[in-house]
Amino acid sequence: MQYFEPNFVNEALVVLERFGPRAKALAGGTRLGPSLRGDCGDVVALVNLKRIASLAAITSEHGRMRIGALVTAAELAHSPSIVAAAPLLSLAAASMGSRQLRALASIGGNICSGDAASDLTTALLACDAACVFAALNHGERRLALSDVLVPGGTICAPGELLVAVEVPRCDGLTAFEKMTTRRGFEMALVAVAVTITMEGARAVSVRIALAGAGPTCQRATNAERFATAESPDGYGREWGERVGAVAAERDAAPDSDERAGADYRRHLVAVLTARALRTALGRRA
Amino acid sequence: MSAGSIGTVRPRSDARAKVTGTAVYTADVIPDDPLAGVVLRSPHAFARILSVDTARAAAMPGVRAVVYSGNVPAKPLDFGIKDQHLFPIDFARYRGEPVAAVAADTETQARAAAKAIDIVYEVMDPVTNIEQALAPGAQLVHPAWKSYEHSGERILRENVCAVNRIRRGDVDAALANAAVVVTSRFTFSGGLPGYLEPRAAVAQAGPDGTLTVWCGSQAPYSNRTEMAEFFELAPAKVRFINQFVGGAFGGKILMAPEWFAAALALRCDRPVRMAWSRHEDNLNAAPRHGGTATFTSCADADGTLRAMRASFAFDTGAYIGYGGGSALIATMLASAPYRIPNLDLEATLVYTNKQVAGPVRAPGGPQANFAKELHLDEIARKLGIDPLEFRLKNAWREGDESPSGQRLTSVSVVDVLQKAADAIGWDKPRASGSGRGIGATWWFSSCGLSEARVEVLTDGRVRVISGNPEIGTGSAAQALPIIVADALGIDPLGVEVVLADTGDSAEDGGVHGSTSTFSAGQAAGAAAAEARARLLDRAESLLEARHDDLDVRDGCVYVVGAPDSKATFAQLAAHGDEPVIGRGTAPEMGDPEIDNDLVQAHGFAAWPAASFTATAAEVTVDKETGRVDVLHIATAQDVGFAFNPAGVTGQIEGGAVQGLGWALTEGLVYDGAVLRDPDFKHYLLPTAVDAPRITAMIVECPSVEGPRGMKGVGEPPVTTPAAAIGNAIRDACGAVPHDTPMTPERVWRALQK
Amino acid sequence: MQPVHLCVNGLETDVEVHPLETLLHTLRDRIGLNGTKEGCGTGYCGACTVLVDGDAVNACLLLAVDADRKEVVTIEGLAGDAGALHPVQAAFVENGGLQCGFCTPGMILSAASLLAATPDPSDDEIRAGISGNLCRCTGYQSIVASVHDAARRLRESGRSGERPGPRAHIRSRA
Repeated sequence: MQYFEPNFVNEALVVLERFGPRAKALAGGTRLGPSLRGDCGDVVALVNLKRIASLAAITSEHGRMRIGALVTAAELAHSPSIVAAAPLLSLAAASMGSRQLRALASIGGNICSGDAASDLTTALLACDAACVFAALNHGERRLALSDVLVPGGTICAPGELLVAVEVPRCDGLTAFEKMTTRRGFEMALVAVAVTITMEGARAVSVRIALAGAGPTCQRATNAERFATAESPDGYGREWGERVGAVAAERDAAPDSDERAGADYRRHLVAVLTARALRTALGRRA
Repeated sequence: MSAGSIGTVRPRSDARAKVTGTAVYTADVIPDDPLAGVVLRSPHAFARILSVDTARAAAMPGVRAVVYSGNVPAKPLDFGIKDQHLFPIDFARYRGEPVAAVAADTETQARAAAKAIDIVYEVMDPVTNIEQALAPGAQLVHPAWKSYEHSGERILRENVCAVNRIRRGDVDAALANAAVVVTSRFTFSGGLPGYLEPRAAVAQAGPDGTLTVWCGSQAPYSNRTEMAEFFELAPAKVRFINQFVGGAFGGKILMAPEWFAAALALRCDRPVRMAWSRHEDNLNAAPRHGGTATFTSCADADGTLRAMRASFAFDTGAYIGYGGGSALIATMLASAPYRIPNLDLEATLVYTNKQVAGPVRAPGGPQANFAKELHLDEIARKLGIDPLEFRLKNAWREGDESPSGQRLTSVSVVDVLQKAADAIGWDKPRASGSGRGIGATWWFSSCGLSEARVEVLTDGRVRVISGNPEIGTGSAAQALPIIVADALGIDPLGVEVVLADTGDSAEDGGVHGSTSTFSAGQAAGAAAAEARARLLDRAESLLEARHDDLDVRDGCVYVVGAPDSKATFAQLAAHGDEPVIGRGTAPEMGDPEIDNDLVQAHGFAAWPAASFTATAAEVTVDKETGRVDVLHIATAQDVGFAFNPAGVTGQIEGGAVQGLGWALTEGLVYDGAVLRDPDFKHYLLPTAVDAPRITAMIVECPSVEGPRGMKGVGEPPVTTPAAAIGNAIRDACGAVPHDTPMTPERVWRALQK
Repeated sequence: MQPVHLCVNGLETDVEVHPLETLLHTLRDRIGLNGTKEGCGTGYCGACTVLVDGDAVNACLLLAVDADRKEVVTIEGLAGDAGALHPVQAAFVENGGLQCGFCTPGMILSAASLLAATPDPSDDEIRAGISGNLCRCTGYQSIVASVHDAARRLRESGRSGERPGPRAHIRSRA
């Protein structure tokens, strides 16, 4: 297996292009490392991205944050600019893994794992995030995160690299609810991230993202439509519960597995959505 | 610094080494020029082995030895039933069963060679669970069971490898006339010991027929004896050198990497090192028994318990190993510590094609107590009686009889129940969504073979040499210095503990069965007393005074009333042909009498120096999600006499969280008979944010049999928390799962019913 | 093989490593520092915790190549001159914050890095801060007590907020 330490994105792209699907890009190393050390399989090229400084940058432009794919969960949790501009992302980043794992886990690696229970991906969906891919033949292309996720991965093509995540500045009310078996660090059984944008007393947009409720993290689009169409009762508890019920019944499509039954996951979607909405609204000034 | 360290709270003698990273564990032992040892494991849960051909593997680069059934002694291992060989001969009976091993210059070479061992299997349908194993006409895990030698009254029949029963009175008559009858059913998951240090061993054979094994074992002397016997080596030529052990909890009594490293080393002229990853350790680990229990009991309207029928079935996996304890202990716990005149208690151990279950800390204890205490709460609720009142009313008192007819002495059930209840605030008003629960148990003490030496060296240092391993509990590193220091009038930190090494000839039965301080403590105490007497002998001559006029303290012997007339330990040790040495052994502890007519096939129905423990828990339950938060665990444990109070507190606190893990989050997942890798991502051990406030209360109701009234310490703390938590859940939200672990989903489902 | 320049416990050293080799493997098997333990190899137990530029990380996941030119502190690097225990180490000894000791090196480093950032943590902050370090023996209560005591000791010796590790760098040995 050949090993590469490119200093620039283009260098990485050259290697990825050359080896195609038999090349792996290494970010934080929390997943790929152990798996390759177990068995290389047919991986012939390992591209360590961590010398590429531009991938670790957080910048802001025209009201959008651009977060390099190598930015760690720890940085997301503590960076003042993220906390200010995308508090939902900070919250989710602070709730994932352990302190030690957060110091290593990267936002890009997390998205590319396609894990249907990912806290970060879920929060990003509720932030209306976009993914920026680079490849030799097309420079950068930008896609909504919700269009990028597939079960177990992303639509990132061989030779392509996820270089950044873009998140618009968040002006809404946000909340993140996560359910696990133990209180210590664990992949979510179900998690819900919400962003509510108010205009005066009206919720003009509600974004609800779900983890653990389908083959990928997903937006609960039926519940979102229902949430804004509903006549507000002051957006009280009952409203939240009705929205949660829609998310559970019409958006969630969980499977039963050894961690939880499908009906329980659906129930958690309802409960956590209602709680997240209530918490978010509780942040109204 | 005066004598009197017994019963005081002391730092551990190994603490400094452990906090600086200089304590040596087995994976830290790197011999010169080692070979890497690798185990080949069966990919099938059940398969006939048609042929094993190692020729290709043996010829591969770097390979120095290959071992398999064909070139190691064919004699069976003896666990009361001779159902197992070092490597299987006729059938592979569980996925992951070691079928061969390779030693090579590098691990990569050894793995490649292992893959090249040609084994032809005829795959069979595995027996995956108890129900399947007990069904008429079931596939047999041991088709040739009839030909197996087994000891004494052990029951072995088809897929059943043990049954024991305790019966007294007439349960059916009592049930027929009872005011209230309740039946409850439970299932328990198995669980991992969960030690943080994966297993490892280094073995080296010498040209003169010697074999040295470096390992982290709970029982190095027993291991040494078994290893020597198996390979027909003189025991004196086999040496087990124990390192610090990174946790064991019953999972490091039976040899594993020690066997394979030794088998390979005996065919090589270089040492063989085997240090397992967590993944490999999981393939080999012997989990706590999972299984089922059904209880039917009855009581009078005033809450007096009248009769109990309890039936347990435990899935012991492919071989019996050390699995028998769970079944024996379950029937001893099922009705305890309560007065129930009519009893019919039975436990069955069942073979399946799962990984072999083992004697994890308090085998059968958490399971039996969980079922019994939740069952008793059901009865109390039906009668409208407070669960604490109910237990106090029925609790054993001094002079009562155990289920097997043993007369109970030093009984403290009421005391521990009351203390646990008070500590949890039993009578205080409950906050909404919260609940409290309680449970109690008894347990045995063991006094095994144990020898010790105490040496006073010519530089004045004092050492204690004991065969008792230090697996973390402090029985060696903390208790022994306390005991020796007390006899010699010095500070415990002045006593060096030499880790167990069979080359030192201080035999010890090992750490298990709540025996360590009980046995090794006594041996060390006797050795220290003899060393003290030897010091006084020499002082008599040096100081020209008699024993009676001499005092031992602060590292010197003084003439009473003449403080300038003294001799240091160093001087005394130098005053003679040899250093000062005292030797001691643990006295044999007899078993109390029982009524043999009450028990069937039960070799463990007499419990000496019995202890009593109660745990109360306070929890909150989020009814919408089923999530349980344990706020407080309070355990009162009667240890008779606490030589090492810090050690007792440590055992109670650690046991509380282990019990909590088994109760709420630790579940093993099987695909049929195959255990899905219980890596720590999926097998959820309690973290610091899962662990509650713990109140540990040491109760001292001295036993008749134990040294200063001591009772065994290590296991009881893990046996009661799950029961208390389960009862607290029911109290908090009106429902409780009867299956462990009581995950949020299970709690939620219980609430839906 | 890749050349890597490591600074471990103040000592600079050059080694050659396999690209996929973890820092844990390099520390234990090439440099001979056995104090850092392997409990699970996958980042879920914290026994391998070391400090890299002050941050607690799992050495079983961090590649040695990614520790190039970073300041690594292992358990062996905490004690001061003449073996004087670091206040966190002393606190664990005096408060019985250990039994088998296998989680202890990682636990102590985790605690030390927590205290450097949060010199006077609450119970909840301590528990959250060490929740990436599993302990199977103690039940955590004595560990929490040890960390509280460590905070006090650091305060009383004027070392609150100090980054754990050797004070001086030693340039030596290739």
